[in-house]
Amino acid sequence: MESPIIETNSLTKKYGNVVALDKVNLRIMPGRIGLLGPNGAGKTTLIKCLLQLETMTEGAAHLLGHPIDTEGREARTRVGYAPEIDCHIPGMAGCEYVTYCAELSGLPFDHARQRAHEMLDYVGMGQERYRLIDTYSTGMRQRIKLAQAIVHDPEILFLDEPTNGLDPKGQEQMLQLIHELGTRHGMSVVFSSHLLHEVERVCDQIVIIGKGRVLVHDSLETLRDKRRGSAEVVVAAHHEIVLSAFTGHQWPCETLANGNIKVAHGSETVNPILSVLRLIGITPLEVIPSPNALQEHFIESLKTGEN
Amino acid sequence: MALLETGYRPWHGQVQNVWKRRAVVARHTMRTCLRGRVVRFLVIVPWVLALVTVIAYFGVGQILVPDGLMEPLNFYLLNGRGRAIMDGLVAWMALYPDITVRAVANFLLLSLAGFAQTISFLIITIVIPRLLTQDVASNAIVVYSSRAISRLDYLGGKLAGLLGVLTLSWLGPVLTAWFLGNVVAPDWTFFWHARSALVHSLLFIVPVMIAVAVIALGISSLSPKARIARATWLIIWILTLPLIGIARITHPWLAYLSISHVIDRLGKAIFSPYQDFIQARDNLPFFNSVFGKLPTEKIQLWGDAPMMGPVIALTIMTAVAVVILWRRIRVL
Repeated sequence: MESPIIETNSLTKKYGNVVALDKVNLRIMPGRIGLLGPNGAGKTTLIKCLLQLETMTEGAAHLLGHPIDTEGREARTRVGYAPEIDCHIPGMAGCEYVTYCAELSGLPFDHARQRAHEMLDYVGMGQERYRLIDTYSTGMRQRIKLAQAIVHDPEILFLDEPTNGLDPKGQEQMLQLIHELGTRHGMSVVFSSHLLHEVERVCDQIVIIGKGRVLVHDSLETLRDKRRGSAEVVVAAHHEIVLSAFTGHQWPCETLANGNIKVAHGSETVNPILSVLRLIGITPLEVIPSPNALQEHFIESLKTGEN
Repeated sequence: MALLETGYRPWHGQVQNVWKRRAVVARHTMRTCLRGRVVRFLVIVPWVLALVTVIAYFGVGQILVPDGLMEPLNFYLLNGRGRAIMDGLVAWMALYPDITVRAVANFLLLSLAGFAQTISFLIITIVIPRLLTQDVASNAIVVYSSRAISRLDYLGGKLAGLLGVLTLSWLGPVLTAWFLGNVVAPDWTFFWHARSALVHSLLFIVPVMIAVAVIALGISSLSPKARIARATWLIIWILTLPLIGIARITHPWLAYLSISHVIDRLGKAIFSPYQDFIQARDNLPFFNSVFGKLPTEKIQLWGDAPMMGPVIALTIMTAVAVVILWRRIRVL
């Protein structure tokens, strides 16, 4: 049986009177974990506490089975971290920096150098690796952050807003790399972001944090299942007829800004909707089952958290 | 088709132990400190001075042996009276080779240690922002702390790196001068007679070097701005020097706020050139006739320094630096 990679027990972090993390209890199994939450929710603080960049005020946490307060160093041997902020060492070229990071993680120099070049190839850095990092663009800095985080082949990879400042193409490449690390290479990825579509694309587990508390922790599939009873219907015309037909079945519905009709039909499949449309003689252009499930969960859980 | 050429391969090697990782930090610190022509030039200067010391030591050795290299030199350079004084001096030196060799070695190594200290302080002035200031400013500490490195490992590595640089510019030249000086001496007994100079050098330089390195690290961690780190170091090194003068007319302990004074006093207390001087004056009529009438206070300026004051002052300075380091480097 698989053991959890991250386990926290009433993990609390306070900055003076401000509670950044409030009795966080988590048991995260290996996989690709999306850490969602609005800005200031406590995502970065949670990662920092797990990596001992911040000291916990109360509670306990285990990383890869090691209690972090007594065996943090051992645990961090198998952890990679790409922080949100820039954190390069000034005066170093890209390949020199990644090699140094590998050595700091315990790789012998020869292995470190070879591995650094492999990882720089992997993240798509070319000859610019021989330039000083101080001269890099934001995109290059994000890539080098990823390279230094995976250079020692960690079991868990913590990524804090890794697509910040990237152009669409760069975002696409970064997400693809992260997805591949998780799916093809068996690395557990903790992906912290406030961009739902990115998390939805990469992750299979979701942790939603709001005001320092864990509001939701479930698999993406389960969250989608919970929203199976809703759908978006795209029709070319006759919106009023469709709305009245759905209302006649006591299904709450509304017309969205894009003209689509959102309906909560409460069934496992979209068959009841198709039946109704068939009855009124309207052919839909598209029926999207449980659209924006994650977004709805996110907004709902934040509302619940506030209440 | 993949957008990128992906070639990720797992790594199956053996992770090195924590001492190797500390050594990596130390090596990087050393390399960073030694970057730049000025620093490298400054590191060479004490070695040149060490060579000069070896030559001087060699000259003294030649005086002590009959028909040494200095004999014809004396003959040509000195007049009759001068030659007589020199002959007397040489006779005394030959009579008390242990005192002579010890005193000469002590004096030469103390002087070399003093010069090397000044050069080392200059080097620290240049490299002090490269120690911790840059890491604090660029958040590089996050890189260290997210890896299998504790705050102690990080600071230990940094300390070792700076000690490596100081060994190159301070301890190394002094030890080399002692060793080479005795290698080129007329006989192997010089090693034995000069043993106290070696012990004094180690007793003086090693603890002072460690203390200075800790203080430099503490100052380096004070601010993310290089200018502030340099200015603070210069204040502690140079701008406290006037306190020595002020201390003479007010409170003597004020002088111990100057790190230069503290180190100078400590050097004189350990090497104790004053004792060598007294011994020479008591054993050699020539010295007695010239220096016998000098008041003891003036002779004491040669270095009859108490040990406790400088030791306490340096310990307090180091302790303050440790507290600063512990409070400033918190992210680890």
